[in-house]
Amino acid sequence: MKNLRLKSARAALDMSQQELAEKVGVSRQTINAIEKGDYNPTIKLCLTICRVLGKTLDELFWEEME
Amino acid sequence: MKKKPVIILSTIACLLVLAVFIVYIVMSEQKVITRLEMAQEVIVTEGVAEPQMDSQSFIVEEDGEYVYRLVWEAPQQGLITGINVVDAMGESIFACTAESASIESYGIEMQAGEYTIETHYITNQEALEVFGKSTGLEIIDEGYPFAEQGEWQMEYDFVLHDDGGYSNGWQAGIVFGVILGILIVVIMLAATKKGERVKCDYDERQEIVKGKGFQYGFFTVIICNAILIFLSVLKVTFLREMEAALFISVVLGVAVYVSYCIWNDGYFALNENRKSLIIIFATIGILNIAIGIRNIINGSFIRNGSLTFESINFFCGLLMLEILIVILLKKMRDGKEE
Repeated sequence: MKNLRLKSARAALDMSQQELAEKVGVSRQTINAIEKGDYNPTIKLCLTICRVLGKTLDELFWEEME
Repeated sequence: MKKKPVIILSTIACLLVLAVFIVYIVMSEQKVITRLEMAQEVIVTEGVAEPQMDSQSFIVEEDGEYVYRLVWEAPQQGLITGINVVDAMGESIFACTAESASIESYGIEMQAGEYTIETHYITNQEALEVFGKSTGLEIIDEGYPFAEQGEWQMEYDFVLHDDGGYSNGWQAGIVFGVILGILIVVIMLAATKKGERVKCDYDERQEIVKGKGFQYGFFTVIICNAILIFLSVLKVTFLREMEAALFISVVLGVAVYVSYCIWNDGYFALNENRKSLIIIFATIGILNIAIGIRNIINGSFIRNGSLTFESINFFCGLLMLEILIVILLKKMRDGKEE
């Protein structure tokens, strides 16, 4: 499932995938894979992304049950 | 580890290895035991050579390991020369056949005594097979175009020299070459890193991709080796030389691993300079393919119907080419997606 919340949080800070990747310490392709839902990051990486984007885990990665 | 010390230490080690190798080669003296320089006019009439053979005796004074250097060149096709070295009991201790040759024998164990070197002028398949049977050489019918008639002005140069550490020279060359190769790879890996660290940094997704790639590469090698065992049981001659066969198996395993990793963005480390690495791959690929083509042209790529150790450069070159093609295809796919 695509992670549109991560994409919009990144876009809100006017940050490219490459910039976010450099700040988080991963490759651009890894950020792309997370946004596309092709890769489930570890909790450690999720926390790092949240810190860089100034968001909480819930805001970026928690999926509400419908 | 820091980049600069690694490059400096590896370069010093490279120079040391080179110096030791040069000293080793210079110290390897060879003493000539016997030398036979012979010119012979061979006339072939209705498929029969005249003379059919020549022979010359020589004495070996000490037990030991000796090496034969044999050189001759046929002015035209149609005549094969068979060389057979026999001991006093008439037993063949070394034999070879070729139209033209410039070869070194392996180290031959010889005891003190009298020996004879026979030069056979072979003009048909049957005679070649008889020569093979009498010397224990494996003869493969490759449809050599024997001449029915003609004249051959042959010049032979046979030198028997003692080992003098020379027969170990080839092995020493391989060992020094491998050490040098590893050091050069270390220098290249260090030089292609961004920043000061030599170690490759991969993120967690890349580590998973690499693990999966290793798995596929490992199973590729296992399957290739199983196929090689099967071919060996079936006595398939094309992959009879194990050095070449095993190298192809390794090349295929590496190709699968690298291709999978590149395709899934797990190959290039975060701190790696892709352009430098691609240039290195292209250079290694071009050099190896050039050596491979030279080996194909001079006939050392396939010998007696089997791929030889000399063929591995070509496969190494192909591997580099395949990696570059996958990188290019991946770039094109990423371009389309963006």
